[in-house]
Amino acid sequence: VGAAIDWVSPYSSVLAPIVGLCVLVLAHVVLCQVGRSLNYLVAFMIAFAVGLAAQVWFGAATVASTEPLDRPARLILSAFSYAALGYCYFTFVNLGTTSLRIRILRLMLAAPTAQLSDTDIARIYDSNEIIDRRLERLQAWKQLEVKNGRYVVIGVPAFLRLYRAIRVARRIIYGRGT
Amino acid sequence: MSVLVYSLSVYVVAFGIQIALWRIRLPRNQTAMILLIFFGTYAIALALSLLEGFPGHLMPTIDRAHFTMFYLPATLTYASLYSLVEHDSPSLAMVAAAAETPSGCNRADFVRAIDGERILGDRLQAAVGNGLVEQGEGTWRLTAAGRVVASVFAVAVRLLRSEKAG
Repeated sequence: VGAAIDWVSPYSSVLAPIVGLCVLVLAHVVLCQVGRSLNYLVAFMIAFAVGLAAQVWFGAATVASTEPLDRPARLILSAFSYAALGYCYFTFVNLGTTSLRIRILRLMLAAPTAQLSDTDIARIYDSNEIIDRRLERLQAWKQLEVKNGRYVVIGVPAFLRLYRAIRVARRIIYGRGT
Repeated sequence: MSVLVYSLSVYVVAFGIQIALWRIRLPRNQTAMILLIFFGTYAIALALSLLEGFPGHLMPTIDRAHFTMFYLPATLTYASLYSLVEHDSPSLAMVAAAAETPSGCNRADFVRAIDGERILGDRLQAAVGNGLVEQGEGTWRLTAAGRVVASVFAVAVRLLRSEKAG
């Protein structure tokens, strides 16, 4: 693979994560536009894999033009960089989709004078609405299920594992007893 | 020194500095302090790599570029993940509340778990604090910065067809 474009500047290998990110974003937009029934998280995971393939290909092709020593280290670091950029993009997408604050900003933007009254906001978005939207999403993502009219957790879904991981992180960062 | 080891070591050092500072005193604006610590550590590590006799001195310039390409997004990733550590995510809190109660939860339990009666007001005040919204007499208006942020997200939501919101 490296021989194919080994005439490029060695510094091109630094750009492999950016190339991967561009492919990720493009693939994500195309998947969301074409696959209308596809959940945006599933679309993101597919797009991430496509972007990773592009990043690995570009990285392998361009790193061949650098000194042989440390090529594997550069490739691994490049993959880490791509993962970090991918996560930043995911955070952006997730904010636009799930953040209440961003939703309110978008509602204000759509309003005639870019402003809403307390009454408008309360009418559009009361606390029941907030809970309902989250319950709907958590059920769609199989994080909660309804049993005898109550919401229960079956097994150890991803969100529960994440919640436990965050508790461990809090103990490490803030210390015991925090 | 391998660029991989050097980059990861600097990241771990920055994390260690954060833990040490947090144990002494928790800063008021934790995310801003994390960015300061991590970017400060990056700047020092980059400067040291240019000085003879310091770790990373023999690192070629291309590896300094690789180090930068890794370190900056990795720092933003950590700052973003840290918000989950700092504040309970309502969705995670709801799943945890349901998991901790053998009989599960109803809507009222969830409202209590995420402080649902206050959540809207809290988010609006946070938007005011971030300079995205101005509060008037019973009204809330977008600032210029708020318009930019809202427009960017509005385009993204249209492109990704992700209309459902929290």
